Parts: sequence; C-alpha cells; structure tokens
Amino acid sequence: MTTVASLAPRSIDEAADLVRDAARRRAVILPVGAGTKRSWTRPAARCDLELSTREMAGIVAYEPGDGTVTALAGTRWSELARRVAEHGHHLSPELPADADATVGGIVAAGQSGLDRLRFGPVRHQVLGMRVVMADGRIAKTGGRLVKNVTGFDLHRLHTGAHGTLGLVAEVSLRLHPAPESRAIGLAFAASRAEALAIARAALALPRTPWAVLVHDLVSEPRNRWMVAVLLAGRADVLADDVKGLRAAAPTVPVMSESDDPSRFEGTWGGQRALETGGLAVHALRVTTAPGDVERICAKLDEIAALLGTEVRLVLQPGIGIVHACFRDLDAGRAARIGSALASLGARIHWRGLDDDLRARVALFGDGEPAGIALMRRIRAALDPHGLWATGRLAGGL
Amino acid sequence: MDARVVEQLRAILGPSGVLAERARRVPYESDGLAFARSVPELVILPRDTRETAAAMRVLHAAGVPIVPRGAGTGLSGGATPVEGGVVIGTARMRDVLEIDPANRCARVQAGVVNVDLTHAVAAHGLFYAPDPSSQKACTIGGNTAENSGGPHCFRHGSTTRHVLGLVIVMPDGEVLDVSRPAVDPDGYDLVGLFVGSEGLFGIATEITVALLPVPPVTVTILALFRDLDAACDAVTDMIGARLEPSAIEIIDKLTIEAVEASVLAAGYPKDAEAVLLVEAEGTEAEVSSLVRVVESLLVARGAFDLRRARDEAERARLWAGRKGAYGAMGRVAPDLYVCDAVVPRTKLRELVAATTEICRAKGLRLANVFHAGDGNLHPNIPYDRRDADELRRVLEAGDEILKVCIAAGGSLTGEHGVGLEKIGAMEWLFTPDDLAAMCRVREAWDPALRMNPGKLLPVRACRETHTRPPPPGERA
Repeated sequence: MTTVASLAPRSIDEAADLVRDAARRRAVILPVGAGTKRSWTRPAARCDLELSTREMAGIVAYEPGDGTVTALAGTRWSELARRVAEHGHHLSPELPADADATVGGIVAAGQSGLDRLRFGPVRHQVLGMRVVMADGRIAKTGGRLVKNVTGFDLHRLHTGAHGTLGLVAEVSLRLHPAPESRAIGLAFAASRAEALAIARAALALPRTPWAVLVHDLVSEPRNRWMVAVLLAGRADVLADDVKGLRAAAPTVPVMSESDDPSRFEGTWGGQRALETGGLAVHALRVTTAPGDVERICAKLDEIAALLGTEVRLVLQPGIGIVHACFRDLDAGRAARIGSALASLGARIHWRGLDDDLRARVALFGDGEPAGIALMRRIRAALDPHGLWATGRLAGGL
Repeated sequence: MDARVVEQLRAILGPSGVLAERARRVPYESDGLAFARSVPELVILPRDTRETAAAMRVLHAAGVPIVPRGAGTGLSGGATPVEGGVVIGTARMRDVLEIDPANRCARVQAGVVNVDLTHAVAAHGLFYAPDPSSQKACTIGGNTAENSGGPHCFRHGSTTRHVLGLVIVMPDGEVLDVSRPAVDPDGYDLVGLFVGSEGLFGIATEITVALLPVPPVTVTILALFRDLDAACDAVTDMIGARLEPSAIEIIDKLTIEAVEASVLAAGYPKDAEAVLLVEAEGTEAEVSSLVRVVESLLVARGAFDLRRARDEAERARLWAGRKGAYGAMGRVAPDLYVCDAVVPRTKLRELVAATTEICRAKGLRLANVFHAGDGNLHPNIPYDRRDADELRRVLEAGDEILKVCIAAGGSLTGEHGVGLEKIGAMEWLFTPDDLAAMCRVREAWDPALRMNPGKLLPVRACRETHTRPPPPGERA
C-alpha cells in the first residue's frame, strides 16, 4: 500500500488554504476524521493527500437553554457527548463511550447509534454545517436553530456523502433531554423466532423503547439467542415503561440502573458495541423494511448453509437493520451473498472487510443507486475538477 | 402561450387538464402572499406521474418556465406565477396510493390534502404528524416543497423528518424514482435534499411518508398570562428544563379577540394578554408526569389560570381557534401579512418585544400567534393592500423584523419558505459563497433554471456560477 501525505489543519481557514493549494496542484484529497470508518467505503480511485480534521476540534457554540450545539469537525464525539451531558443533554447518535470517532466523521459517514429507534438517523440531528468546498470557499448551510427552512438543505447532501462533495468542517446538532434513568430487559431465547416475538412485543409498547436488539452471539449452546430491550426516560415514566415491558413480555428479566450502576453501565455499553455489528470482522449491514427482517434472516441462513459457512446476526427489528458476520469470507462468497440479498430488494453495505477484500468486493452491491445520474451531476457541480477522492461509494461516487 | 404547445398539452392531459381561458386562470394568480399577483399564461393539471412527465417534456422542449403549485396556501409566494410561465397544479393528483401499517408508512399522490391523509390512516391507529394551520387545504406535495411545519412539529419535527421517498419529475420530464423508503440513503440523500427546495428542482408527484401511532393519551392545557413577556419566559423555561410536550403555542390578545369574535370562537379568555397552548401526548404516566412539571413551571412564571380541555370536542375547538387565527384576523383588516422568522429559544422575550416596537414605530398593529416552542415567531400585521403607504410600512416592518432576528442568531423562515417574499433577504443571512453552493446544486437539477425562477435564490448569486471562475490552477 502506498503511503500518502497527511495534513491536519488547525482551523477551518487553514483547511481552506490547504484545499486551495491542493486544487492549484491538481492533487486529490481524501477527507478523514479519526479514520475509524475507512472500511465503510471502497479504496479511493486516487488519493494524493489525506486531510484530517482531527486538529480542528472544539465546541464553537453550546447554548444549553436552546438545546443546540455547534462543534468543529475534529471534536471527538465522545467528548462532545460528555460535555453536553453535564447540562442534562443527550447527543444522538449514542456511540461507544471510548470511541475516537469525530463529529465530522460520524456525520459524513451517516453513522447510526444505539438510540436510533428513539431519535432517528443522524441526518435528523444535523441542523446546519460549514463545509470547505472544492475551490477552497467555505459554504454555510442551515443554521443553529431547531427549526429552519431557509435555503436548500445542503447539509442533508453532505451527511452520508463521506466527504465526496466537500470537507465537513463544522456541524450544528440538535440535542435531546438526557434520560434520568434507564433499564434493560435481557432475555435468552432458544430460537430466532422466539427472540423476535419478544422483540415485537417490546416494539409494540405504547412508548417506543430506546433500543431493541436481537442477536445470536451468545455462547450458551441451548439458548443461542438474546433479546435486549433498552428503556430510558424520566424516572417516573421509566417505572411505568418497565411495568409495561413486564406485562408484555413476562419472561424478560429487567435490570434497573439503580440496582447496580457499574454492572448496568457495562451491560448498556455492551449494547452500544453490538449496534455496530459487535466484535466481528467481515460484517455486512443489510437494511430493509422492518417487516422484512425475518425474511432477510432466513435468506442469510440459507446462503450460509449453501456456502458451508457460519453466519452470526445482530438485528434491530424496529428499524430494519441486520448485521451479519460471516466466517471464512472471500470475494466470491461476498458476491454471492450480495446478489442473493439484492433479489429480496434489501440494500447491503459491507463494513468490516480487510483492505484486500475491500478492493475486490462490491461494498454496496452490484446495482447503482436510483438517481445516480443526478448524483453525478451534483458531484460535478460541486467539484468540477475532481478534487475530492472518489470511487468510494455506491455507483462509483 | 404558443398554440402548438397548448395543443400538445391538451393531447396529453385531456381538455379538463389544461386551463387556457383567462377566467379559469385568474384563481391561480397568487398564493397566500396576496400582494404578489400575476395571472399565469397557462395552468395545467396532470393526473399522475406519467402525465406530468409527458407535459414537462413538452414544456422543456418549448423552454417554458414552470411554477409547481399545491393548494396555493403558501405564504411566501412560492406558487406566484412567473412571466411567460405555466403553473402545474396537483389538484387532480389526490389518491392515497398505498398504506403500509406494518411499516408505518403511506405512499400518496402530491395533491392529497394534509388532513385527508391523517383521516385515511386513522383506522390503523396512525397519523401524519406535520400539521400546518392550513392542513385542511394544503397538500402533501406543497408541504414537501416547503418543508412545512405546524404546531406539533415541536415534538415530531418538520416535514423533512417524515418524507421517506419521492417520485420526482425532473425539469426535462425525466422521472426520478426514489420512492422506496431506505433506512439510509443509497448514495446521496436526494430525498432529504429535495424537501424544502421550493419547486426549484422539479415537481414531486408521489410522496412516501412516515406515519406515527396515535398516542394513547393527549392533554391540552391553556395557560393564561397577564403579559406576553411572561408567556415567552415560560416557554424559555420549558426548553431550558428540556421538557418535551408535543406543542407549545403562544396566542396574544389581539389574536384572541379576533378568534373569539369569529365563527371559530374557541373559548379563549378575553381577560388574558396572552395564552399558552401546551399539549402533552404519550402514555398516561408520561403525560401526567410531564403535565405536573409543566403546570408548576407555568404558575411560577405567572400564569393566573390553567385550564385543561375536558374532552376531545373542547380540545378540537382550542386547536381550531389556533389554526383558524389567520382567517379570523380578516375581521381586523382585509389583509394580513404573516411574518415567519426563527430565533434561539433563549431569546423569545426580547425578540417578541423588538417586533412589537418595530410595528409600533411604523404605526402598525401586531398580532402574535406562534410556535413558541420552536422559536418560530409569527408576527402578523393586519393591513389593507389598497393603502399603498400602509403596505410599504408593512413590508419595511417585515424586513426590520427579519434583521433583528438574524442579528440575534435567528433565521429568515421556519416553515413558510423564502419564495418570492424573502429572496432579497437571503443575502442578509448567506454569503455569496454559501449561495454559490446552492446555485450549483440547483443547476445540477435544472441547468436551464426554468423551475420556479425568481424564487428562493437571488439572481445575482446564480449569475456568478454561470460565469464560473477558472479552475484554481489557471488563475493568474
């Protein structure tokens, strides 16, 4: 692997200068944050310079009374979450507490967290941005307000674009009330069907849980499946939620935060790691309509059997996310898995492949996204000279 | 309009899909921005995506400007016809195409009326959350174009949070189908980008929207205040305490008087200078917990009376009064200028006071009825458009209000859009570089700039991108 130059400007203006300079030299830039999600995209077709935001860190504005925060792209997400928690705010997405990931990286990658069922995707948290454009100009979109329809929502375009349309330099986010207390219902199940039935009961509770996860990463031979129902909110409301869960799923033991805070934190933190597919490499993220999760699982079983390998699953049935981890993956197998899922109309995204596989596997499946011609025009409009490293996303974006 | 173009359109849309006679075009001369009027050269009313696409191809070949229009309830002139242009209305696209209760979504034609969608899904225990005051008339297509709000967007978010997929007819007639809901966008988020684009990108013909389960319990509180400042402070306190009712609305005395004198009389007390309408929804435990905290906070801020809607009928009446407030203002003056600005919620009191002062200094009356919880101010100025001097003062006041809001960290519009009304103000909020990025994205959708020209983006900003600077390396 060839090494490329890496620069880490300390301010937005410095970043803009570097971009202008690179543009003059016709260099191709790959924007990175902490670099924790490199495996989410294909290797760039060409990259002369990595421009890291990691030194552009800090809170630009935090107005606790207004429930909004603005931070530079290189701010560690975990640090920002800690800072706003001091004023009773919750930062969504909820990610592992020790994660290095940056504000800019998480937004640029459109990363989800443990709390997505409650608060929605990260694109719903972003209120505005400042972006360094391919000509070195700095463009603002949106604002720091919870409600605002002034101008096009270009921040929606940059969210999830992995820096292929500009360098996300500063982000404004909406905040949520931090839950006063939390509880987790954890249940073993002998089969996936049984586990999903419990999950369905939890999802039908009158107040949507914080998260509902189902997985088969358990080492116990007879009860391979586990369901986790996470509840959080105002203390008196939580007590009622727990009662509701006990009524809906009587077999699920519920642990409250107050029972044993440190053990509780460990269990809750474990769910954060699970949300991204757990510990496994070779992780495939399949997304579908919530009602199709079981069908996708059955298909994954079928493919694994056909390939003579093993698959482990982490499911978020309320959202429609299936993380699948395959043992003994190679490019040929990945392609067969991808096409089998495409036939069900599911979307795929390989997220944990090593560099070698990543270059050989269609990370987003074989097809092109609907609207790819328009996406290419948008890219050409915002980056006419191909400054940003490309060929990394679906459709070669 | 070229007779051959009209003939081609008739062949596609049938005789009732093309309104050519002046008398039938006049009703389309303006939207809710009443002082901006221009009779369109032609109005066409396609019935579906296929007809829209075919008509758009004809108009593309003829190089005709296009103004998309829903119900025409918009307040920023987004649907005001343009010189030499055609208005494409969605009035004949009124079908709810699919309801998917298991996945809590529905696919509808653009012309479906907002409240009709909620009625259509009610049997499944679901509802559509964005609820603009005009929801009995406005359409899902119009809401999508404007990224509309409404009182309950405080809890549930504006339209953009509820649109999952779209079928869009592009300016050249090409159909872009991104209607299938995705957990995360495939490639770039075209759906999120399109919502709120005010008709400059194309016309949405089908919209897939998220539906929410009807909450088991809803409580509506009316808190009476002796002054508007205290009501504003109560809202700031609620936000500071991170409380999350589903709606927080302020209605001032002049508005109350107008509503109470109208057919919409909601039972708002006339002895209050301001009332706060707060709604809490959720489970019994959630609502009672929240209401307890909210009520004690309201009392601490000086609410002299707290009333709860006793039943669904009373609740409906309170909301009918709130949502009918603009119409009721017709009793005060023939016309109403509905301003729309957003401010940080820590600054409600000072900015409401500033707007009051601006209107007083110009000899104008001011009625406030607004989405206080979102910091979304609606200073409403009653006027008579036949009085040219008064209209001038109204527009000046509108500009001054926007300027003080921007200076306080606010924005030009929270839910009504920029349209024609605030196009000149875009440069107060955005730099030429900000606007250049928007112009380039617009050109990617509509290279000929035929979609809703003269709206949202100042011409100067776009002209700049037409004479794009040479690539950086080639600069002297």
